[in-house]
Amino acid sequence: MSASRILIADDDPLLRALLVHRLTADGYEVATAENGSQALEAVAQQQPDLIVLDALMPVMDGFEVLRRLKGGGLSDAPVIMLTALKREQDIVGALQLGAADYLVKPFIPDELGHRVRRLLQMGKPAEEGSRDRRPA
Amino acid sequence: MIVVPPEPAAVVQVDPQNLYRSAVADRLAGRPAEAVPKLEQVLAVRPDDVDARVNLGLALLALGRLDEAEAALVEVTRRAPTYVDAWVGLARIRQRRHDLPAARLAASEAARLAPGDAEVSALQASLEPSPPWRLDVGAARSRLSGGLPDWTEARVSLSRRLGDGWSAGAAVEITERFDNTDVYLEARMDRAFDGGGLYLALGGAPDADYRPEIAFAVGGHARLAPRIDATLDASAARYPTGTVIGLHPGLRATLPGDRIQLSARWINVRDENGVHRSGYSALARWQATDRVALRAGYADAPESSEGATVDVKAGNLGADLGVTDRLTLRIGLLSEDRDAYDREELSLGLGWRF
Repeated sequence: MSASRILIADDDPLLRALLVHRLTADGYEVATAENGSQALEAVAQQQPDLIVLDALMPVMDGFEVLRRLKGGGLSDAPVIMLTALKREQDIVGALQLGAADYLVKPFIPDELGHRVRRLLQMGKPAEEGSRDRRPA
Repeated sequence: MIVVPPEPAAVVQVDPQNLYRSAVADRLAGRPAEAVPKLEQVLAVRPDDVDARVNLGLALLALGRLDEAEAALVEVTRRAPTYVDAWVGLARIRQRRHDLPAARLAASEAARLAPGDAEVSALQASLEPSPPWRLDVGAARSRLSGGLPDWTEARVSLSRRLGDGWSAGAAVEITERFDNTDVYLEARMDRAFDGGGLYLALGGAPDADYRPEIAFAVGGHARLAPRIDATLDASAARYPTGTVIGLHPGLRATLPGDRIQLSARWINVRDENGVHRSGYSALARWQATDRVALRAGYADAPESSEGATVDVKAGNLGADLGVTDRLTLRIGLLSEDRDAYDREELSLGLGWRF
């Protein structure tokens, strides 16, 4: 069975390095993007199984990426928003836009690992069914 | 035309291993500037050498070239994710940038990879949240020109971090000027948020002679761009002679390396006679070492005291010395030039977190 593919979109090089290290060690294939625009390109090219998305990024913020991903039907992959924003409207806004989960920085890496595993397990049947779907 | 071919550049064959050893010796002996070019030479020949890259990152960190240091150490974590020194270096970079949550994350990764390591444990201890209370005590004595009597000032302030970005504090200042003593009391609330902060202060001196009878101040700062903050301070103070209103927009820049901070403010005052006056102030702060910060400032601006607003030119020098992680000693020198007299002030203060 091939490893699940995870895209990490965060402008912080330290957090990218940490998440790449942890998720790779957990057996995932991990790709990274430094801003929202790169994240959209990576989604189109690599069709990740799960996306970890920072809310505050240069070029295009995470909310806009999420809006385009879910509103435009670019990806069915579950999205974990990973951000320092902890206001209720930010969290609810992200979930309304289609985020599957929301983690406030500073986060515990093990917690993220658990959530990644849970979302990938939950999404497996739907993902397999939708893998061949393409945006209209 | 005779064309003289350029002389071939001298090729010096240096054993990369010897160069690496020399660079590490330089770094450990406190000569990071000499280590960096040697390590870059080693990496030009051996780009996969993670030991050289870690040492390059740590040498750049020692030089305060934090962006380059971080790039080098992140590259190490990509090539060798379990290299503990890389995570330690990344934690120290974030500590220098006062990004403690990220510093703790990197340090916890180092601790996970090297449980029980003394250096990592010490690093984690240094990243613990600072104690919630802060006590500042200070005193100043001023010598005035023209045989006028000295001024003295004593100040005690106590503040507490309340959580979720809030903190509250209170201060008492006792000043003696021209044989009159005023006691000024102040309460203050601060709210920090991502990329900025706000404050609100209310104070007053009962039976005031020259301090405000009542004063109100509000202000804050907000991130405009990476390394650049906008600041704004507004105040209204009622003196026995009238009310003075101030509005001071400013800019604050942190230079690459995070050791030097420059700030400037445009001082605007509507004085007790309703006259608009303006001026400026500028301040530079240099974090010379982890424990020593030096500052220098200059202002040419209106100042209200003794019941009148006057134009004052003032230069100041100071130092903050970290005696321990929780105790800071502050020393300051101020020289003021005003029409009625000149003033030279020496101030000493202690800040204690507990």
